[in-house]
Amino acid sequence: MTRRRGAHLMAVTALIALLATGCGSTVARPAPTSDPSGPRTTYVAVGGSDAIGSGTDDPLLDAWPQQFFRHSLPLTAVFVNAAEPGATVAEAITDQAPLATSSRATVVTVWLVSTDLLAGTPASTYGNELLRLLTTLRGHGATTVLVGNVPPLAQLPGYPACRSGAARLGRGQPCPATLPAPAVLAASSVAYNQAIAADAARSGAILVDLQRGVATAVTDGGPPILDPTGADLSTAGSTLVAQAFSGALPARSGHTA
Amino acid sequence: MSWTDAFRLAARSVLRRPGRAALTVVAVALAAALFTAMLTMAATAQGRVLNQLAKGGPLAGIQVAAAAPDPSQAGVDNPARGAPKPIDQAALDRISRIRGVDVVLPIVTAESLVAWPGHTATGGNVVGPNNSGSVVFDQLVGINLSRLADFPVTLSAGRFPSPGSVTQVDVTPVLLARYGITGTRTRSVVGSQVILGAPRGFRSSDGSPVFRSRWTKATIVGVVTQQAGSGGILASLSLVQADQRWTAAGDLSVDPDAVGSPYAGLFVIARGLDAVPSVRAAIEAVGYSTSAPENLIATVERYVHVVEIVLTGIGVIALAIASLGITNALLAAVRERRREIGILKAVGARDRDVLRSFLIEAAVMGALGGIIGTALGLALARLVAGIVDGYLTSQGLAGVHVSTPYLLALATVAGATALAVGAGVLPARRAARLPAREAVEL
Amino acid sequence: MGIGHRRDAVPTNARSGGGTDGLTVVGAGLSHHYAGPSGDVPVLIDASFTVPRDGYAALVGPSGAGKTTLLCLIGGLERVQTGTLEVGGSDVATLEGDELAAYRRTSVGFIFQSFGLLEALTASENVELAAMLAGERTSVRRRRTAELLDAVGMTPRAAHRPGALSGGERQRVAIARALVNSPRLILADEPTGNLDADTSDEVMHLLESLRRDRGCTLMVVTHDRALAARAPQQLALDRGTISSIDTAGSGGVRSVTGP
Repeated sequence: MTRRRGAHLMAVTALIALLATGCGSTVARPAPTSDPSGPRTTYVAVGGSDAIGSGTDDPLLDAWPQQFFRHSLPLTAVFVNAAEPGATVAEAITDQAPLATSSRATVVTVWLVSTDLLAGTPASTYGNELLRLLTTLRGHGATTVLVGNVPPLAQLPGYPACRSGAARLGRGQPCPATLPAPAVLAASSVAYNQAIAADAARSGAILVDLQRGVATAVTDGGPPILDPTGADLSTAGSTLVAQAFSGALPARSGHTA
Repeated sequence: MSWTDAFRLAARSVLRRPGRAALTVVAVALAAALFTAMLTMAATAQGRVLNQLAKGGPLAGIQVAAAAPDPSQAGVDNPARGAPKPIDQAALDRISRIRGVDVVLPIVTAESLVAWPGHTATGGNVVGPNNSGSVVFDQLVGINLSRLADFPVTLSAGRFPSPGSVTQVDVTPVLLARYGITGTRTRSVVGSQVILGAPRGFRSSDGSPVFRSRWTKATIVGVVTQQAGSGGILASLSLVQADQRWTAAGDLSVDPDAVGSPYAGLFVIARGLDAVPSVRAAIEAVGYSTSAPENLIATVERYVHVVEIVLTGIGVIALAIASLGITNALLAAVRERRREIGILKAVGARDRDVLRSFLIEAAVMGALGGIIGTALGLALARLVAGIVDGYLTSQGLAGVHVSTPYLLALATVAGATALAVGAGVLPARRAARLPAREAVEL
Repeated sequence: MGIGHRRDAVPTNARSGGGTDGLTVVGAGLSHHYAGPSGDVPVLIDASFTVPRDGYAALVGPSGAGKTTLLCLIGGLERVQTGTLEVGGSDVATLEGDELAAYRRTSVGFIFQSFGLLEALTASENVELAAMLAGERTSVRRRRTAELLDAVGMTPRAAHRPGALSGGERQRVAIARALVNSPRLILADEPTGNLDADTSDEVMHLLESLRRDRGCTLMVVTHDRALAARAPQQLALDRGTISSIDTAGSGGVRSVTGP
């Protein structure tokens, strides 16, 4: 190697060494990932003891509104459970609807059939009360309201338990002193479902046909819809109901997960 | 002879004997590498230790608790607190106006249910049927995520939540330990989803008390150790304040503790370590308890300073030894090049031309050795830091970070050059004094 | 022991040829000694001589006679200890430090027996070195270097280092270097000492022609009588004294007897 090349090599080595120590001193941080854009969904559940997970393995996690919230609504959604065990539709208007309004709910689920039906409330009365409730919840029409109807009697939470003579249901709700006869209940449930469908149509709410959904699930076989006491939905039953409400969510509502 | 010509002549002479020049340069390079590496590693270690003391926040950070100060604990780094005392906006404003305060950062906390599908916690504060542990009670700690460097938070996996995010949170090893997740396994939780529920007291229609939660979903984006507030989850101010507002709007007859201090605490940054004692005293005069590792930091800095002096001394000795090598090599060169020096004089070089030429030779070797050695030293420091960093992070601790000490590098090169020139003075003078007659064989 | 000189035997500067630009060299009572292990060793004893302005003188004598020492004194490589030494009318003995270096740089061109080239530099850089030391501008010294290398026939080998040149080629380069600052006095110490006969002849021929062209004063140290005979003036040294001065055209050898 000639002297000139030796000198060049030394200089280049020194320069490379100097540069190498400067490189890699700052690590580029990844750009922050921001929250998904769009308006925030506020979901309020209006319902009875089934909505607070009585009968499930882990009520706080397995209640059907909680499952609906976790699996069907966007990441940014907020969920408040307004449900009260043993609530009637009339009670829900005064006790639960205000919370939905004050929370500015954008999605509301309503499933209040057991208490009224088992107490023998006439379908017409029920229908009027429900219409008031749905109209209140719909507000100026910006709120998406999903309303569930009566499932097959054998899978109606509380019915098998009260029928078998239980005095009280899971959450301390008493069974009605006089349970209507099965045939009467069957006719009432049909009338209830007609009223629910009509109220949904009139108020602009979305009907969730649990009568058909649950019947299909039963026909297909699978785990029991109700807990062993028959008082409330089981975990599997809650999942089924959650999926039924989820399926009824409008595709482009912006509320889907 | 101009400086340029003298430089060219000196460079040619050095390159004429590349082997000998290389040996001298290597000696200087090794000394410079030792000097640079030691001081860089010392600075890195100091930074890491102080960072540990300040728990990842700035050194001049002071934690203000929502509690009155305990008079018997004055001057203590981490004093016991007195009675609880809420911090409201007025108090925050008062503290902001204290002389010596650079910035005041609020910390908010909110109680929360934490549901983590697929995970079960043990120990206290678990909720669920038969205390199954699927849901636990913990605290959310909300800070301004745009100013992370100002808080005592240290990331050990993943990343921090984006500022203002309502769907991203970090969890602490303490929370994870409740789920039996420890050590390197903590990293695996990043990306997992949790459900948070802010509780609120209601009276149901029959008058009985009931709690309803405001549930939100959040993704765990990182694992942090934090000293900002007591709580297992770190999140944005927005997320936590929303929960705080929900809880505070509850029925006080059901949940008397729903309305707490608007701010769970403050993190105050003073204008420098010197201002910390006076700022602390002033905040305590306002009526709040403070804590800051000022005494500990001062002690550590004293020790580190001593270490730095010792290391600098070792480095200087190494460079001095190397410069002795330069003197020796140049003296030998002068002996060998008597005729050459004589010829230079015979063709008209002045004494100072010869002196300058030899001093430049020494400077060139010193500078070259200094540059190579500094680069080597920095690379070595980086290597060692990389190894230490790997070890620390594998233990779930915060790692170390080496910055490039430009000033030290410049000083080392300049120092090596200066020492080399100093080392070359004796040989250069000897060369300058050689008579021109040396050119002639007598 | 030589007495010194007889003024009337020294040629004057009266004879002036066309283009003479040399320097008169007049030594009077020059004595020099070196420090030895057991006291001072005299190498020059009371030497006196004159070399005219356009002179060409050879210093002859056996080894150790003091020839090189005398040349070193004239060239400013050694400081005068005793006596006077006037070159071009100035007493060199009074010069020291930078003045002496300036004298070496611009007044004298020295040619060494072993060529005296720096191994680290190329032929042209060696020549340029003397001009560089004189502080000449780069363009000027480059031009002069090129001219001189051409004059000595070394242009094709200008980029070679001394290690790649033959003895004769090296001496040519040394001659070019000695002339780059246009000195008026050229001193050559055994310029052909390391060369073969043919090359010696070439080199001396070159040196003499350059001296004629530039009108310099030339003094050559040699132990070779034949080489010495080429010079019009011969100064014979023996054990530190100038034993005879022989000037061509003055009718033979004048011997100077001493005590």
